[in-house]
Parts: sequence; structure tokens; C-alpha cells
Amino acid sequence: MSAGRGLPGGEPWADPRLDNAYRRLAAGPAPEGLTAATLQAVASSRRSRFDRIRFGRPGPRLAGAAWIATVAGVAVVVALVAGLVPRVGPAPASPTPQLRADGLPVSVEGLAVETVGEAVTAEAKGSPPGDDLVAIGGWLTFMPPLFCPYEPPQPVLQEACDSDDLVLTETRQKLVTVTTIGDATTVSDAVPAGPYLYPRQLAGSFVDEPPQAMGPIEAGGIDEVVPVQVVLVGHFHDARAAECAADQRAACESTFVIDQLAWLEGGSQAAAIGSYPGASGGPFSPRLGADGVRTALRPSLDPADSIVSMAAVTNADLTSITGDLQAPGNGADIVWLVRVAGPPPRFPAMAWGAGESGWLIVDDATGRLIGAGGWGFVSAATGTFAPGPQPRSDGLYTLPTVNWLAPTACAGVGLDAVLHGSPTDPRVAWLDNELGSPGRIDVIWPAGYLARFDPSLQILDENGNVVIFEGDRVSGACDVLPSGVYLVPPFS
Amino acid sequence: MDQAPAGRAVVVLARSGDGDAFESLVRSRMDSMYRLSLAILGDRNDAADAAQETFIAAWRQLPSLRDPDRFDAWLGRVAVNSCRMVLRARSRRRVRELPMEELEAVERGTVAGNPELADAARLRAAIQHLSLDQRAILALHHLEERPLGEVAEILGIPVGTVKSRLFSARAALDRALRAETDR
Repeated sequence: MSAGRGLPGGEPWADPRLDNAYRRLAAGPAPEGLTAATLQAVASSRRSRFDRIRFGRPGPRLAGAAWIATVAGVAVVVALVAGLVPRVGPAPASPTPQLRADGLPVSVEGLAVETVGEAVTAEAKGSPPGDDLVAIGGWLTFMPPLFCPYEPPQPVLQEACDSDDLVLTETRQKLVTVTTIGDATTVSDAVPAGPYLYPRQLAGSFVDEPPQAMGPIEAGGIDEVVPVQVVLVGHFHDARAAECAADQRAACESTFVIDQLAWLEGGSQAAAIGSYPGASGGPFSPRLGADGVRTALRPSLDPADSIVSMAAVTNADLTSITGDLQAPGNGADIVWLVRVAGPPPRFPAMAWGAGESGWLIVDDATGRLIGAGGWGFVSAATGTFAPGPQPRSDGLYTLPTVNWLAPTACAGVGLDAVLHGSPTDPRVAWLDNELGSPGRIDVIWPAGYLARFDPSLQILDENGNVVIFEGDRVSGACDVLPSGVYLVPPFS
Repeated sequence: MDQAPAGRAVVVLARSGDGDAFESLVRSRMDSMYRLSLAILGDRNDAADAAQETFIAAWRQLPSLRDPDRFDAWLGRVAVNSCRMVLRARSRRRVRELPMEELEAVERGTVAGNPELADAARLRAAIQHLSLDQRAILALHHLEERPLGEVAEILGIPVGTVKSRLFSARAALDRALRAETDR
């Protein structure tokens, strides 16, 4: 048996023994049950592109390049209105917005509308970390997919072949042409001119349902994808950028993530309502609904606040979306992530920063507020936290803290350590461990905690009460994060 | 190749999200994708994993297929990539699964007396010494009997490169077979 005398064409081996052995090597049908198991796996698998968009509203039957024309040309409007950002009831009646010369509103949801160029420039200059909401107006085009080879699963924000399916340009441009002759469809697209960006849709801001069948192709034709004038509310510096490879982290940080289609072709749009069952495949039936969430948040929100989006997610998925600790409860619990534009909430009362937006977490089972973040606050649990002693005007020092979480029982991490502090230390306070591996341990504190030196270290809780002093012994932590141990009282 | 080309209408329907159309593609192509994966990976469990991954990836990526006429070549490319991923994931595994018939023959002590089984076992061992790209090019050309142009399309390389790599792969297999014979 030899392999060297093979044939040049697509034919069996010249050596019959080799050919026979080769066919025996790869003989037989697929194992019983593989097809059924595969179909089951496919049924629960999300598509990389079109399943982001729900074509929830039956539209008129189109002749010509039916399905792809529908996807490419009309879907921007249909999907973003009816699926990506489905309405819950009619859009709220709003006073006629003040318009700029380019036809865009001056503001939406209380946020000043920036042009694409202004937003790109501001981001390039280095906007502050955190996920403050930004409103960007421009022309949105859906980019039909080109050939993408299979790629292993990537971090959701990392650049991939199929990432750039939406493009927001500053000026109106027809970028995509779809030509259909019989069943054969070809797509050509052009590089945008002038400022543009590729906004992304991620879990927490869109409805993820499979597309409906688009109907048969009936005839040929040439279609151009018609851009639509929109204002998108979203954020840069999404916490999921921390999942990206080091060499792509900066690009991920500067990706604009959509939270709401706030304005479309002259009309204000309602908040984006979505649900994201996640990868677990388990039962996922949110109880509260949009109205229940609004009711649950009413006592907390400032009257000037505006809900931009709300999404039901699992508690486990929430940690990657916010980049923070898991909210109280189990990973499979359903929670609502609600993004809000406007002043900081009345509850929880925290020393929020200067941001104009943030997010709140509502437990779907109880309707209780269990978490909050944003409004200029940067969690010490995220990759964007930059420590540094920052004495405030009242002489108190900011401590590295997580976002606000409702009080919860901790699983506990055993320590035998002593608290120390210095006003010149970047993290102000730390532990000296005497158990296991002795040495310094950085600490992350609950939201609202501050430090003062009188003259030695004192840690104050969110109500201003001293809860622990320099030299006090700490026997346990709540959690261990990459940037330190998370301490909650009681400390010993 | 032992399958009829996928009907364009079926591919177009599947591409637009028609689950029934995609199911018919899975049913008509599962055996061939499994055999291709088996020829590349040499392990039935790995081949089953790769075949399954192939169709899951195909479902996800099908909207990106611009030309429905190229579905089979495209699916072959997805399959080779799935094999690559499975092989990477299994790279630390040391245990190699023997097919049942070989296992039974070993237990009966009849491998030596069965030239066909002995050839298959020797070929299986020899193929383990080849790179995945070499295995893929041999499987596509000599098992699937795909023409050089289609192999080039699947692997994303020029036809001339296919020819040279095919020659190298056959030479490598020849050397590996001789080494196995000398054992």
C-alpha cells in the first residue's frame, strides 16, 4: 500500500488497497441520533445576524427581490420599530421636538443629540469611563452580510467578520445595492464617506427572536438599501469590553452600543423593551412585564428621569453586562436591567458622580430594587476603575466600591487580616493578611462607603456611620475579585 | 461525492430562516459531513462533534452565504473549520478510540489475519502523523472526490497551491505508511 501514486483529479486512490482502506476508515452513516441531536441543537442556536431582529409586524408582500430586499431595505425601519425596539402600546405623545437644520431633534430623553462626527471626536478625545448614555443622530443603514467563514465564539464586542451589520453615517448615503436575478442575489456595498460608526446591538438592548420566513423570491431586480434618519441612544465603554483580547480592548471600549432607537424619521419612539434568555436554555418567563417594572421603580426614580430601555436577563448574564458583582439571588434568577436618562435616583441615596444616566436592577420575582450603577460612578469591579486618593471638599476620601447592591448574605471568604490606611495610598485602605500567604490585600467596599483620617483611618458606611477603624481585625470577606476582596459588614 | 447538489430554492429558504428547509439540508448532508470529519479526525466521537458543529455553524452563518449555488463548497469549508476547532480542543487527549470492528478483531486476535482491517488500522495510525490541512486535502480530493477547483474554494487557497499541497500530503502519508509498516 502506497500513497505516492495518487491520481491528479478528484478520483479514488490509484492503489486499490489504499482506496479500500481509506473508505473503510471513513465508512458508515452518521451515528444514530446525531441528526436529531443536531437539529435540536440548531433549533436552540441563535443566528449570528438576522435573529437579532424580530420582524414582528407583518408588512406588505413585496415583489421583486423579496426577502433580501425586505431585510435590507425595509427591515431597518420594520425591525428597529417593530422588533429591535418593540413598542409596548403606542409611543407616548410628545410635544413637537425642536429640530436642528439637519432635521434631527435638538434633544431626546433629555440628552443633547450629537452628530456622528461630534460623537466620534468626543470619544477619540477620551470620554470618561463608565457607560453614560449618549444620543447620536444620523443616517442608519443595514449592511447585508457578506461571506463570513466560521469563527469560534468571540467576546461579543470583539471585531468579527459579521460585526458590522449596521452603519450610522452623518450624511445620507446609499451604501448598499442588492441585485437579484432569478434566485441569485448579489450584494455590493460602499465605504461610507465622512464620519461614521458601526453601532452594535447586544444583550440587554434588543429582542432576540428568530426571524419569520420572508416568503419566496419571485422575480429579479435591483434595490438600494434606503438609509433612515434616526437618533440612537446608547453608550461607549460597555463593560463587556473587558472580555476582549488585550490588543482589541481599546476598539471594544470605543464601540457604540445601542440602548434605544429614540427617534425615527421625525417621530419619538418608546423605550426599548427586551428579554434575553441567555445561553442556559432553561425556562425563561419574566413575570413583571414593562408596566410592572415601571411600577417597581416609581418610588426610586426622579420625576425628570426617562426610562430608555429595559431588558429581562438572568442574574448570571447581568454580571457580564454591567461588569459588576452578581446581584443578590441565584444566577438563574430573572432580573430587569433598566437604563435611565436623567438625574440620579432618589433611592438608593449615594454619592453619585456627574453622569446624566445610569441603570437600575429590579428582581423579577419580588419587584424589589436590588442594584444600581452609573451616573458617573465607576465600579472598582470593572476594568476601567483607576484608583487614586481623591480627598473631597469635606475632607473625606473616596474608596474603591462596587455599584449599589441590596444587602445580601455572603458566602464568605476566610481571612485573618488587619485594616490599615494612608491618605497617600492609591486605594486609601487595605488589609495586611496574616493567614495563608501574608501580605497586602486590596479591598473593595460597598457602594457609598468613604474614608477619613482622624488622625488614623476610619471607614464610614453610606449613612456616615463609622463601621471599622485602623488596626481592626477582619476575619472574612464577601467575595474575591481580580482587583481585591469585597468586604461587607460585619467584618469580624 | 455521493449527494446531489442542494437545490437553490431549498438553500435560499434555509438562508431566510426556514427551519424545514434547513432540516432537509441537515438530513441530506449529515452522512457526508460525518464521513468527511471522520476522514480528517480519525475518531468517531470527534467526527460526530465536528459534524454537529458544522451544521450549527452553518445555521448561524447561512445568511452570509451570498451565492446559494456554492452551498456545498461553503459547507465543506465550514466542516474543515469545525474539524480544526475540534482537533484543537482535543489536542491534549491521549486516548484514541478504535472502531468497534477493529476492537473486536483485536480481541479475537484476527487483525493480522485480516488484511483489510490491518490496512485500515495502519492507515489510521499513519494519518495521525499528518497535519489537519494535509488530512483535509486528502479527504476532500480522494474520499469526497471533489475536483481541485472545489478543494481550492473550500480551503480558500489557489488551485496551484492545492496541487502542491496535495503532492506534499501524499508524500507525507507515504512516509507515514512506510513507518507504520516497519514497526
